[in-house]
Amino acid sequence: MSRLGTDPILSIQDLDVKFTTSEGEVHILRQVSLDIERGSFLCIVGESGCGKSVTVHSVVQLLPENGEITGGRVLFTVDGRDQEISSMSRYGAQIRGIRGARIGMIFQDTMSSLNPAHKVGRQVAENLHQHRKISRREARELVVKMFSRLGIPDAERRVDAYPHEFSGGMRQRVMIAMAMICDPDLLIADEPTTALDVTIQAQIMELLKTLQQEAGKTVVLITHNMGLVSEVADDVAVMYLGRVVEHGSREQVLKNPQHPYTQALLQSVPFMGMDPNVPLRTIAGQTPSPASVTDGCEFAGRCPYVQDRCLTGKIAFRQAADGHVARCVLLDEDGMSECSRRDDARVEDSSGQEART
Amino acid sequence: MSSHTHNAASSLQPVPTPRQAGRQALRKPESSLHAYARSFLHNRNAMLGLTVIVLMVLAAVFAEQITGYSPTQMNPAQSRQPPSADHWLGTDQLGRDVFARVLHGARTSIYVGVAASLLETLLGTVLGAIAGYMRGPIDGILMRISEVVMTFPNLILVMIFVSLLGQGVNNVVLVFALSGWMTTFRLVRSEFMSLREETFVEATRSFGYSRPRIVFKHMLPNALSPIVVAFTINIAHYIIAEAGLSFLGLGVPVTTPTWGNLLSAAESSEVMKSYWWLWVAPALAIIIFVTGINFVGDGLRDVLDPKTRRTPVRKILRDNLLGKRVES
Amino acid sequence: MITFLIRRILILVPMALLISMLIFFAIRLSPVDPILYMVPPDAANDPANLERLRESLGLNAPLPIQYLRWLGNMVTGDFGYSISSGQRISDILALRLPATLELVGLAMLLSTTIALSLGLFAGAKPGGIADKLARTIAVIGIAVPDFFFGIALLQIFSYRLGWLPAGGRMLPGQITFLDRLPQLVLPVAALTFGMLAVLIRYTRNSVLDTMGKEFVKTARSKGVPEWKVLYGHVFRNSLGPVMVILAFRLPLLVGGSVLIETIFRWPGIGHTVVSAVSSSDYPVIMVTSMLIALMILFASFLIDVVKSILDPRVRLS
Repeated sequence: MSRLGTDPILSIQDLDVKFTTSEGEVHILRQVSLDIERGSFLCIVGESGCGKSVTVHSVVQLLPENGEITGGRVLFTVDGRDQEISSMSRYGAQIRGIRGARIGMIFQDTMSSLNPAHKVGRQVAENLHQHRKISRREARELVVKMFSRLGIPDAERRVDAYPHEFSGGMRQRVMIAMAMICDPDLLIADEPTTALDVTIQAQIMELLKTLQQEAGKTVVLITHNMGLVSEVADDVAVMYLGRVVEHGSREQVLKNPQHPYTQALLQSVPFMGMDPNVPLRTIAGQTPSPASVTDGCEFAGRCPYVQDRCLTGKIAFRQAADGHVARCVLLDEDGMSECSRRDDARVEDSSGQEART
Repeated sequence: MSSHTHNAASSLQPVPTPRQAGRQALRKPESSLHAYARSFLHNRNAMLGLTVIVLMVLAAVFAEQITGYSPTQMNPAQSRQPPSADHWLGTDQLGRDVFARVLHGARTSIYVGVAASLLETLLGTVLGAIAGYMRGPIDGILMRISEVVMTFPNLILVMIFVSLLGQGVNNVVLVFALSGWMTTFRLVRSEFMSLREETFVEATRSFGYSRPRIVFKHMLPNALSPIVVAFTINIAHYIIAEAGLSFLGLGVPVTTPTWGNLLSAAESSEVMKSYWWLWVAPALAIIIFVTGINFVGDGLRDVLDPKTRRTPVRKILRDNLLGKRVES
Repeated sequence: MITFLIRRILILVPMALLISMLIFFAIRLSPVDPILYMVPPDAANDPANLERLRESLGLNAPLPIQYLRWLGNMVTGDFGYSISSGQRISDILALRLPATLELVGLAMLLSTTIALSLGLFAGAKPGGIADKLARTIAVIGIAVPDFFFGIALLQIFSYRLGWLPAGGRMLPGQITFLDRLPQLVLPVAALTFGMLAVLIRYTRNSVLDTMGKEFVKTARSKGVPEWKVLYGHVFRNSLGPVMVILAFRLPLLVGGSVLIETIFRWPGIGHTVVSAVSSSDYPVIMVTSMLIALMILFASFLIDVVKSILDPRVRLS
């Protein structure tokens, strides 16, 4: 179960993903459930390695060779038609008809994500040629138009430049142009600004926000930057160790976090609009390896409120009073979290004293 | 649940004293010979290769005890016998036992391979260490020389050297080393270039050690892995090179049996027509030995230098910049 | 781009000079009287005559001056005479070069085509059939030198089965390329095989490496089918290291393969070099080595050019 949505464009249901490594099979995603509302701007947050990137890669069947969807399903709904992406073959025609055309991907490292040997115009146009019958000249015109629309100056000339001739921010605009050129319904951006300056970061974010608001795109943004989340997100999903732990609107999650991990996360990073009087804190302990957690709540090992019932069985989503959901047993049936009543004690101080359970 | 193991605050590691840090830095790779050996012993191909090599070397050493025949004893009555119970690999034109000749040939061929590889490695390592550590004009001159030598097709260069120096077992060894040191030179040079930037070398410099002591006592052990691998694989290379050179009649004088000299029997169309065993025996000996060496070399590489395995292209580029020998 | 090329060409000149010096002085330091290879052998019988010639040819001049003259002759195309046959070296080259070009050119063409296609499929799908085949060829190719393979081919297809001739290039009456084809098959096969192993391995590894690059994922995210991903994105970006090997093989086009030409009695440059070395025919050695060295320099130049074409990033630096 996830937060109630009225018109999800993408519905991830109990998704399980396993990776085969030299040390054996590792369960990277466990029962990830997430409904993405059409036309919304969803931020998926969590520390690195929590599975947010794997989640969106499995949505478009672009997991690495050693990764595999082993359970659950992904439903993509456009034009009133449900398509079960998770059952499509990885490089088959069905999924390829969606990739690029219906779902645009924007990746983090633009230098390595663009082919160094081809001109950027050609790389963007490749997407057009793939999905539409279109002449070279028409494609070029569309690319130039898209470049100007996305704020790449001197677009007419720049389409003939190579990736290494662009700055990082401009390269990211090229990536966005590539994702946008076929007018997809859903844009997925995997940490698109991590490698960029703060000012450029803001520009790219603004651009994505504009695309959502004015062009009506659904945007999924993966980030570990809480500052970005507070500025652009409509909805927020928090992931920890291969699971979604909390999902709700920006207001709900940032102002009224229910899961102890979300609370800890919010107290550990500064972001716009936070109370300047509350000191920043660290989360006790280290993130365990995904292989070591098999049962119960994955945060139990670091959670200050851990109880016996946290350690075994499946922890289901519970709804908070304001309607958003979190996977925590402390969230009572009446919608009030026990832990939010014990405000001060919830996270260990950064001085490194022992966290006691 | 693993919860308890993750609770310890990990940020406060004891800070090593400068003295400890220095000592740790100086002993950089914890070269636990044990671990290497164990990992090598578990490498099936490498062990197979090692077994083959050891057996063949033993057979060469105890050639007299293994076969009753002398490699030079002629017996015109027994000329050109096919393989039989008496003569396991037949006899040649002069009635000499081929098996005995292959075993005795192994001595010279393996000697040439090992000696040439050793001399080349020595030459390349010393020059490479000097160039990599000193840099500047010395490095420039050595690099130019290596480029010029590498510019020549290897076999032709070897042939020219041979025609200048004359034939003979040790001349062949010398010629191989003189025409082949560049690969090791470049390998060691680049290794030293990066090593000299590391903290532990900085430390030795700050202790005021002499240059030779820094270069050969402290840096060299850290560069040894790729050198050992290259040395091993070069043995195979030089054994094949000896075969080629002797096949052309330019290698070890024909009076000494070597695998290459035996192989040159194939030059006679008569042998090709009717006496195939004369060339097949030495050819198989070379192939088996060379494969054994290559297996051991690959095994050593896996054990000693695991990073090269994971980044194939960087290694390819390095090989190329090193001027991987142009086949001629 | 133009300045890059010009600068690159300018670097070649001192290298070529250095090599020519090395060749000249190395051979001059050998004990053979150079007068013997300056004149046709029939003129070399009269000592007085020789002394006069020596004076008039400038052999009594200091070595550096002689080197400059030799260099001048080489540049103007006067290569001198072979000691052993008395022929003009330029005539020998004119006769032998086409044979080597034919043999090595064909082998390079074949080995490159096979290695690139096999390597591409092997790298694209590690563990697949193409990969297994590629790895088998690589293992055999490294353990079995090409001339062993040549001898074996000769033994089986020529002496045992009698299907193909044992050597030579042109028999009387065989003029066209098709006439010569039977003689070409075995040496070309042996040479191709010898070139295959290394090239396949490098192509495979390079493709494998490129397959892991981020831009391959980007191409897939556009819905591009796998064959187009392979051909349009992976292949070209994998070619760099492969091209280096190919370029380093170009000198074989003029140098020939010494061993294969000897085994199959192929009248090419490699064969010429062997007989020149065994008969101490220094002028021939000097000219052929110079020729091959120049070709190698050219190849290294070509590598830079091809790299800059394949990877636009190189052009800037």
